[in-house]
Order: sequence, then C-alpha cells, then structure tokens
Amino acid sequence: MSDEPRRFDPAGLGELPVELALGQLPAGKHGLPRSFVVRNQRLRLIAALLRVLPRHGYPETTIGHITQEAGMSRAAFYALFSSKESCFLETYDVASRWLCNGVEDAVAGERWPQCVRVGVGEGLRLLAANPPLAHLIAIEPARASPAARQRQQENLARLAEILRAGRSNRPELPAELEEFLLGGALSVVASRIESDRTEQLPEIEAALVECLLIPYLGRAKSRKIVA
Amino acid sequence: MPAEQETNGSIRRSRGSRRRPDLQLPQVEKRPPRSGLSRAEVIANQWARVFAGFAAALVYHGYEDTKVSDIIELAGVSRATFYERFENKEICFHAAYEDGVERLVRAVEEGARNVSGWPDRLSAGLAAGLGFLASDPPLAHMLFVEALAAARPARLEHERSLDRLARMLLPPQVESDDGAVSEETARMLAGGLASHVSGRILAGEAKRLTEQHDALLQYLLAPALAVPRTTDERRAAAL
Repeated sequence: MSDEPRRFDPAGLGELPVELALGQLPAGKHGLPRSFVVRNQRLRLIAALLRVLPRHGYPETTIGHITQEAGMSRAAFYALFSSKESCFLETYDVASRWLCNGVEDAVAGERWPQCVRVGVGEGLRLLAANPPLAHLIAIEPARASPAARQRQQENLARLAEILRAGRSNRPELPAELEEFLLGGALSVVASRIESDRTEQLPEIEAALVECLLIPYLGRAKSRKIVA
Repeated sequence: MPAEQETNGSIRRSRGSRRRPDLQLPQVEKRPPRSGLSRAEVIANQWARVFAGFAAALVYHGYEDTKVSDIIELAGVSRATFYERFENKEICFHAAYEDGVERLVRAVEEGARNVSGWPDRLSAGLAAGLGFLASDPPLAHMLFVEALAAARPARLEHERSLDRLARMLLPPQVESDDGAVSEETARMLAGGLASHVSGRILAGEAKRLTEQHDALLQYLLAPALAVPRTTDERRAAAL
C-alpha cells in the first residue's frame, strides 16, 4: 500500500496499451480486435458518466451529457447500453468492484479487529481521493433505481464479511448485525459527502471504527483499538 | 401490469426506469362533494390529500418521474389549487416530507409516553413508529426511500431527520464515560435503522414492518449491551 491513495480511472481499466486506453481510439483501421474497441468505448462512457454525475445528479443527467463528455455519438451509446439506467448500473458495478477489491486487498492478512481499522481507513482514503466515485457509491444508487439499491446492499453484504469475523467473541449477536452496522456507516459517509466534506472523510476513521467495534468489544476496548 | 388495468380511473402508466411493474396502478378515489366544512378545513383537507396523492404517485413512478399532473390527479385537486400553495414538485415534496416526519415523531412519542426505563421506552417507541409506517406504506416509502432520491435540499432535510432520530436513540446519560452511547454511535445506529427499514420497504414489505421490531431492537441495544457492566469488567477493559 503506497502513501498516495490510488485514483479510480475507468478509462484506464481496459486491457489496452495505456496510450489507447486513456485517449480516444484512432479513427479508421487500427487493427485492434473488435472486443478491445467495444470495451474501450464502454469504459469511456462509464468514465464520462462518473464525471457528469456529481454535476447533474442521476435524475437530471441525460444521455446527451454522457455522450458529449465522452466525445461519442448517441448511436454509439445506444449500441453499447440500452438506457441511462443500464449505463449507470455498469458504472456502479465497475466502481464498487474497484473499491471493494481495494478494501479487501488492504485487509488481507490482517487479524480481527485490526482488519476493521485497516479496511475502514483504506475505504475512506480511496473515497476521499476520488470524489466522483464517492458520490456515485454513496449518493446516487438511492436516486437511480431499485436495481441500483439492490446492488448497493450486495456490496455492503460483501464488506460485512470483514466485520463478521468478530462474531466468534459474541455468538448471541443479531443475525444481520453487520449489514445493519455497515448501512449505518454508509449513511454517515453519505452525510459527509452531501455536505461537501468528501476530502475530509479520513477524519472520521477513528469514530467509525469505534462505532463498528462497540457491539463486539464494548466501548472501552474499541477505543483502545482505535488509539 | 397487464393492459386491461389501464382503465378510466387509474393514473398514467409509468415510462420511467423506476416504474414498478409489480405494483397496482393507484386508483383515483372519487370524492363526495364537500359539505359544511369551513374554508380552513377545506384547505387543510386539500393539503392532506395532496400529500397522500404525492406519496401514492411516488410509489409507482419514483421521484424522478412523478409529475405534478400525477399528484393532482391522485389528490383530486385542481392544478390551480396545487400551485396556489406549492410553487413546484420540489417544494411540495419538502412540505409533504416534513408533515410525514412530524406525524411519525408524534406517533413514536405517543407510543413511548408513560413507559419508564430506557430499553422499554426504546422498544415502545420503535413499535409505535413501525406500526405507524406499516399502516401507511406509501408514506413509509416517501420517508425512507424517496427522500434519498429527491433533490439536494430534500436530502439535506433527510439528514437532519436522521440526526433527530439519533438523538431519540440516545440513552439517558447516567454514566459519565464508558457507560454511555456516543452521539456518533447513535447517528450510525439511526442510519442503519433507516437503511434497514428502507430495504424492507423496497422489498415490498412495508405492511409487515412491525415484524422487524425484535431484530431492530436487538441492533439498537447491541452497543449499549456490549458495554462492560460490572466494575471489574470496566477495570479490565481500561487496562
């Protein structure tokens, strides 16, 4: 883990030479396989949606906003996505997978409860370093569609596994406690993002970790982990 | 919904991405002519109908796709009446949301009144709140689902409601330091509670929200119950 938090750049996720992935593909015959071209175009539209979302919010964002930002035609958009919602869902999936992978990589090899501190810290740093991603993850799923909300719940359940390891200490805890706690944590994060304090998210690391650990360890022990 | 549902008396079918094909189109209620009501009563009644109509429209269309025409059709008021009081959809949502929150808070306070002891008060307030929401699924949907989908001023208002809920969840500060649940913890619990309720409503289980009482109470009490209770435990934790 480097000191500088990584930047999320969907356009850089393609399996293409960097100079092509970051820019537009050269026009005409470029000898690249069709699948590369399609993936590059999809990722360009995803990157464009990610940039325009904080500006307009999901309901006001139009396909015109996305295609203009991507420098592509409407026809090209509709060749790849059936609707604004399907483009949003894919953007959300790409972004949330990147974030969850980042958190899981950071906690790998860490013991409970240290892994909770490390995971929360890494998650907050990645969000703070990538405000459009933070906005997409925390604010827009509730605005987009029930399907988007569903995927948000699935991601919370995925990250809940990290917390669930602490259960061995307290078997009597309610069954869905982890999803409940992470739903609360996401709500606190969303509140910060709504009030334009995305870049200061790492400041709440200690309070958040303490809150997450209290049901397992009690307040005094949770505080010691954070200190 | 099958095509035969689209009859006179039902509102327009949704075109938006949030349409809920699993839901019945809300039916427009025929209202008897008003009789013997004062002007103030007529207006209060009109607002209540506008708020209820808005909530019904939101369930089917979602915030983004709800039009003022859907609201007034379901409320049975004229466009002129709507615009006399509300400049636009956003302002009407704000008023409807505020009205709903106040009614929910009143129900919770009513339920917790005369109950002594913090866990029992929390349990009674929670039961009353869930009961209130279960009795009016469209309102529950508006307060816990659509408030997050609305324009930014409404979302900020929702944030303030969660802060308020957090204060209601705080146990009385009987012990000075490690015995109390902090404000941050309470805010997180409030967010978790709202998020869980929201999930149940989205799953179409608004009417059965009261079934969530025991599990929710367990979550809400988990931090307080995890606090070491005895002096020895507290001493051990402090080491």
